[in-house]
Amino acid sequence: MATKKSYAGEFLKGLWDENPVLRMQLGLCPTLAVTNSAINGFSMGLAVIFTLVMSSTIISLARNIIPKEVRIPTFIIVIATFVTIADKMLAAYFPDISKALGPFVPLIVVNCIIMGRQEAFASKNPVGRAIIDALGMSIGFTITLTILGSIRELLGVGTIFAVQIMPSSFEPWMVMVLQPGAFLTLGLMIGVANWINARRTK
Amino acid sequence: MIDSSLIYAVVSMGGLGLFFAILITLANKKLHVEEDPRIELIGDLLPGANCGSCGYAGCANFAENLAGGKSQLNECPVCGAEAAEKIAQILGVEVESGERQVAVVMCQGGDGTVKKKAEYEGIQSCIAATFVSGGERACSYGCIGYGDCVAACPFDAIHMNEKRIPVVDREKCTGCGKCVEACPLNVIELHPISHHVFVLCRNKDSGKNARAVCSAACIGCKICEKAVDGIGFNVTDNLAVVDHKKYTKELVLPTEKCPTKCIVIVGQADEK
Amino acid sequence: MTKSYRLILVLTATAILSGLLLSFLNIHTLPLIEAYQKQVLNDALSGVLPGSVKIEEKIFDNQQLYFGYNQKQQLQGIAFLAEGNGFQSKLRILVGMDPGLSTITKIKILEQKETPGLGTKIESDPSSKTDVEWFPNQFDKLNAGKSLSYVKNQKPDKSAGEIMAITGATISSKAVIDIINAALQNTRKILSNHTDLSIAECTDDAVFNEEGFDPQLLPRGAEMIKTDNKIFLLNKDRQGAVSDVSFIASGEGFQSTLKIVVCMNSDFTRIKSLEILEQDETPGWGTRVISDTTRTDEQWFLKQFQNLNVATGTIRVGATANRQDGIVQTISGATISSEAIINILNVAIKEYRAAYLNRKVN
Repeated sequence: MATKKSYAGEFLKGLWDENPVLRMQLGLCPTLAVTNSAINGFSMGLAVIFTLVMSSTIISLARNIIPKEVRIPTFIIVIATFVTIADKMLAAYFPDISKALGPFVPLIVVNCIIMGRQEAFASKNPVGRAIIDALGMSIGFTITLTILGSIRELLGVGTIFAVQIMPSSFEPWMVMVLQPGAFLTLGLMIGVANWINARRTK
Repeated sequence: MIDSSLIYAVVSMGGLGLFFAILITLANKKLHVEEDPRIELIGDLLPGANCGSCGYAGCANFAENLAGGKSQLNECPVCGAEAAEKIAQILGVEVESGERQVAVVMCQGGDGTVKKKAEYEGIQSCIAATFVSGGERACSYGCIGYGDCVAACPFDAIHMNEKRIPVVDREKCTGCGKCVEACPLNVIELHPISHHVFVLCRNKDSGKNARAVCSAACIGCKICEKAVDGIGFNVTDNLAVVDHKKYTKELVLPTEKCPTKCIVIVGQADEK
Repeated sequence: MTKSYRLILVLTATAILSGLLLSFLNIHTLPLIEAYQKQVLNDALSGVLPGSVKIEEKIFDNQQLYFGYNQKQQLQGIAFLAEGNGFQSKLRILVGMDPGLSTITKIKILEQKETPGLGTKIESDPSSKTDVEWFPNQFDKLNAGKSLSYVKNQKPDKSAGEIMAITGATISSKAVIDIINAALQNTRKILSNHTDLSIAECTDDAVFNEEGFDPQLLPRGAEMIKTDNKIFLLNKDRQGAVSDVSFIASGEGFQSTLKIVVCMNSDFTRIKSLEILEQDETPGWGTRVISDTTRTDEQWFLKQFQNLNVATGTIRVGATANRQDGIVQTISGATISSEAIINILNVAIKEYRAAYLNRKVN
């Protein structure tokens, strides 16, 4: 029987047990696309945190008003509104990051993590829980993307957050900043996550 | 400040919203499927674990069939008594008070107890090991030890101990039977929670051979059968089995008399 | 029925709220975004048109051209936008060149979304130990007489318009070349159709003092000659041939002496530009020859003389200006000052032409 988790449990599950990228494999499109550097991965994560938390809040607050026949269009409008806000604020106040993230900020609208959490959680839980769930999931997402971006940047360029880490004799692995490198790294990370999990439960 | 862009935005968005809302409303009316309102209520009361023990594709499907009268409530072993009562009320039927079932692992042959016949280096799964001469334990009837049962449990109610024999948490176990399915040698059985005495062995080989492979094996010596005058313990094919219909609490437990200590009291008397 | 109404109400209300919110957001952020984009463009323009204090934008057939002028309204350089497809994204490049469109001064990549670590090197190569912007910097002072081209793994010949492509990003590099070539060709075509755009290269008048040209302040390659008591300043091109000739014409205006620097081509058939050195005409009237506030283009009067054809020998006044026929308009309210200038010019051109063409060449 699914037990009601504590607030802490609700938050922590998004970080590991139900990590959207490593365990549930949701939202892989932006994950692969923007993690060519640590700062890009991190920034995308921040945008998702904003969108997910705000959307979950509004939808949780309005969960008893929204008739279930129109819940999908309503969710989408709410999510799209917040994504547009995030996109425009980035373009106005952080234009360099906006340029780096490119078309992937608007694509957060169809990031299945957001829609998934609204459908599965926010629309069925009170605001407090919904916000914590959103925070947990999106922070888990951000951490994962930052790590993935750091690995790809470190091996593909030699830097992390543009700080030179590798010695100058290191010949960067071009493939890491390209799409195949993204797939490989993500696959290996999921494998490592599974292995750690298996050891935990044995 | 009322910008013209504001007016455009409100009108266009509002217009779109209105248009699609009307569309959905019409579609709702035209394409309405008459669904028994009880199904949703029942669905909310069911445990929602989607374990599939009822044999249906998840709790929603089971709810449909319940409301349609195609299945019985007691097919869901996971359902708690409280929920069962409420569902029975909705359905307008009497709830049959069934006893909770729990899984029992009928083997004590863990590392150190059972002899090893080989070094197994392969996929750490019981089913996989059966393709490779049954793993590393010398007893071919008993637990293989790689935890397919643990992996199958949706309720986190069974874990391997340090001897690599699974242990059932009788409080968490809901009797869904997934571990029973998962075990390739059917070492696990479902029993009502009131059953406490079991012969934890499956070995049907002769006493000498059974003893040779495991120190906790039943050797078919019939001491237990004799001790209870044949009521409650039957020994067939070199293996003693408790007959729970006949065996009652009042009888003397021959656990002391068993030379290999394969008769075990599981759980506590006051369990529910 | 209330369920249906609620359905419609909720969806429509959500949509309207969303529209309102985003509208406000847009009103707030649009100025910031536009300002930033303008800033980026201006920074880029200053970069590719060095030495220009004023940059004018003119749009021709959907092509934006930027003309950079120094303080003395002389054309320093021309910049244009080059756009096209790169390897996997749209490239937007600002190209700055000399007024003759023969040499590239500098380029700036404005927009690109090429492969990180490879194609992105066209803008910046962080792995380079010498110069992070080595690729765009190859275009500095690149000869564009012939079409630009690229070479691989060898030293490029700048005088032949060659640059070295990026290893592993040949397609991106080639795209840059192709885009610039196409835009340059287009720009050249536009300019040849609009000869009123000055391609003059006359002298910065900082070289003048009260008497005339200051020999100490001559630009490099320039030569001052005196013949028949007339002083000429000759500007030479790279091959050493005379590209333009400047002299000072003076005479009486309406109420003051006028001194005008005249810059012409070497056979005195075309005025390249004029500069009024000294005047003291009626403020608000006679001074309109320099700055006519009644028109949007305040310097329109003098601009008429840019690239004016005077092969016939004289500048004439007419109702409509015509460069090919050497016809200019006078300014209403300053007819006498205008005509005075025209007369001074006609006289001076005749005299100085005679003196120059008859000079003894040693």
